[in-house]
Amino acid sequence: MSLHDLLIAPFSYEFMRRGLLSAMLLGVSGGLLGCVLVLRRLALMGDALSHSLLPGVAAAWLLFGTSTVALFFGGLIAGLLTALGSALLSRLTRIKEDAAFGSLFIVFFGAGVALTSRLPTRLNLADFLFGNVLGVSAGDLWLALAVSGVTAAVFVVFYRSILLETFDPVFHRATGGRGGLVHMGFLTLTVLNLVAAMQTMGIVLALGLFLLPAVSAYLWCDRFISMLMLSIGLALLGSAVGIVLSFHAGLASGAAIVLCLGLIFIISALFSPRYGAVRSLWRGGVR
Amino acid sequence: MKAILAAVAFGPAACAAWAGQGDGRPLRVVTLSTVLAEIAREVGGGGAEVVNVVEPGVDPHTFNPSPADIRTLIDADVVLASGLKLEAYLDRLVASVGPRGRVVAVGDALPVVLSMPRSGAAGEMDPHWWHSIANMLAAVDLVRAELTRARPASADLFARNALAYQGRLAALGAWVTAEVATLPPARRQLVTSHDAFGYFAHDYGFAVHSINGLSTGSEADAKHLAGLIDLIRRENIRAVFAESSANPRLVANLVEETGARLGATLYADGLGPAGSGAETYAAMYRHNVLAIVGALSGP
Amino acid sequence: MDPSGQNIVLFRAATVRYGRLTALRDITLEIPCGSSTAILGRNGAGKSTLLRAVLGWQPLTSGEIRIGDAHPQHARPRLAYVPQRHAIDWDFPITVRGVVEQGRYPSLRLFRRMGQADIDQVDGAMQELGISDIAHRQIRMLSGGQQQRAFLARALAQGGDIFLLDEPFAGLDLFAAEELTHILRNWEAQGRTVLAAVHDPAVARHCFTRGVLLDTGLVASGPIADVLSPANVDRAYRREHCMHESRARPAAGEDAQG
Repeated sequence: MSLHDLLIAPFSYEFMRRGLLSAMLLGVSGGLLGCVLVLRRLALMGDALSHSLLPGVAAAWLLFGTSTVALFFGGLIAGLLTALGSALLSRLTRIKEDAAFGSLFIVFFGAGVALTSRLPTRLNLADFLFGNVLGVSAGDLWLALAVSGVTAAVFVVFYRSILLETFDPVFHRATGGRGGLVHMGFLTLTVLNLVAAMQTMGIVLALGLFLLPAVSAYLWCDRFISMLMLSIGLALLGSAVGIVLSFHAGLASGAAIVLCLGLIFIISALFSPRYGAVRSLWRGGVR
Repeated sequence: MKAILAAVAFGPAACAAWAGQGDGRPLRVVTLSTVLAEIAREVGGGGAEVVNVVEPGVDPHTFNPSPADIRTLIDADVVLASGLKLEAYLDRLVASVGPRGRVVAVGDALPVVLSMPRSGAAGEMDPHWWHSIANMLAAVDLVRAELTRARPASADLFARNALAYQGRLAALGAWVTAEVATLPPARRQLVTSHDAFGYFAHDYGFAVHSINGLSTGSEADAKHLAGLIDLIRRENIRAVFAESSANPRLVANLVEETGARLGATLYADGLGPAGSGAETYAAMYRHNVLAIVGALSGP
Repeated sequence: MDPSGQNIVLFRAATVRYGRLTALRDITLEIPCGSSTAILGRNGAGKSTLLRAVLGWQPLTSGEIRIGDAHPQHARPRLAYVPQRHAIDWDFPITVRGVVEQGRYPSLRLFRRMGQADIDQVDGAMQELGISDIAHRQIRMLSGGQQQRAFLARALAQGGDIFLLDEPFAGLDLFAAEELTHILRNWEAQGRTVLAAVHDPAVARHCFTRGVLLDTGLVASGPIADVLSPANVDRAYRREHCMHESRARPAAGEDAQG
């Protein structure tokens, strides 16, 4: 097989170009946000949020039909209610944020299941409500571009606030930083990206792009900025290799990308020269 | 409600007494698909009360019974299921509910059974048998036998009804044959998002190219989709078909990329809901055939 | 800025309530310029609340705080802050230099990059605390003393003249604590004003010249030896329940006798 057949031929198809582009666009923003999620120990938030979107999407479907815009805003509203609601609950009551989040998302998920069981349709949730990287429409691509652009712009403009709030929120606050605002803004961005990613690419790939590049980068980097850059780089690499692999090997594309990212993660976790498991065992003992 | 309490209170004795109770009460038949409901209603006529628990529009592969459905199942004299593992939940349901009547998997006893397309696993069968009219005719006989066994006194009624219904099915078959004959064999290429039309294709000489796997749950891969695009371009296939139950996004991309038209929605997993124009088997079948022949014979 | 000897932080009847709970009661206090002051008291006596009030982050229920002539929120450029070290994630991907640079962030506007002046200030702070040669190490790869110095350097880089330290000795080993004492004494000698929450009276006696003893209200303030008189210590610490601090108490008593 020539290099052309291997790398260029797959992208003679429009759906392949769109799939790659949407995965890369949302990989950039997912890679950025993922770093903050990982460092703030909110890694499981994405998973929880993905469940909480259900009632919003189902309600939008009931009210407005299958238009992408309606479904997007339905999911967005449900996600924001969960994320901001739990942030607010944890500040106003003695409940900690993880418990508030866990409770709210399961309530939302329950409501979503109840709603979808009332839908008079053969609704296959994973397929229908959420996308597929091979089924990206031109509209989805614009959505991904907008969301990714906004996210990248926010990181460029507010880089220092994000770093301070992630690393040392007390210092940030003490020096006049708007910690609460940064936190809420961050949650909003996360929901926005997750909804867009799930809508265009499906749950598995959305969560994979959010977490795996960031965790892998965390194992290599000693500077925040380099972690962000490496995370983006790994997201792009994984998307490209994964989608080409899925083309030649006949694997489901979302899963193939996640597997590539997963391989990068496992290699990083084992063999990272400073923070890998092998080195840790070699030097005698677990930290 | 009282009856159920009584059944629970007096146990098997009460059940037995109840089952033997006079023939004046219509036979209770519960079905797990819209097609079977029609067969049971046609064959049973006034002698059977048919309740279908899987509504039109619900995906039969992943149907999730409600408590009311389960109560209906317990009370049934006969439970009719499509079989061939279409109802993946069936064994578990029977084991946990323990219906009083017989549970009959109709598809398991049919003459023509195809293996699943694109499936490596041996012994996995395509469960969408009702898209073959020959199978429908056999299924009618099967249902007649089951109803007769449960209510021997109505044997004549059931036999008369079955014969009449089979007559209409045969007429439908003749119409379909004539209709499909207008389509040149080279154009008999069916691209759909769900492999439900194997039996139809087998009976009328179509080649089926699926977008997804057999069940609505499996995901497409890039290689398969690219192959499909090449095929549509090469063979100049006029139209592709997306079902009401499948992911329309992939199909939209396929249509956009190949320039093929999007055919009308086909009914793959059962009859259409009230008001859809496909509430009966014959109407559903006519709709599918007209949609397929019309779109594929286009310019 | 202020001529030496002038009072730099003033409290006038400062009171903070959280709902029904009073965290600080009617504090009237003057902290002179160039002093190093330990804020003492048992847990819940209001040490952290007082620090936060000076930072302008904790609004007062009544009374006022002035820094120089200004309200705390307007005096922010003069204030430099060192949080407790247990709040830091030492695995964070950041180097010593990265931490120190954060000292410049509050005074940088959006879209502004660090200028040469900022870089000089960062370099100067690292040099003063002797961490220039480890500038590119990740922060877990440092000794406890080096870690503390990185955060002190960040405070220096902020460019203020009033340093607010929240429990700077907590979690430091003996050697690192000695190092920190040395640094703080140096700062005092250079006329920097240091205000630190300290829960251990023995430590406070050892490295601060002045003290403020709290028990939500003000128990005593002034030179450290006077503030930590046996009578005051007894008054401020007698209601403690915490095991850790009850071990500290006889030690404080011995010190007072010796």
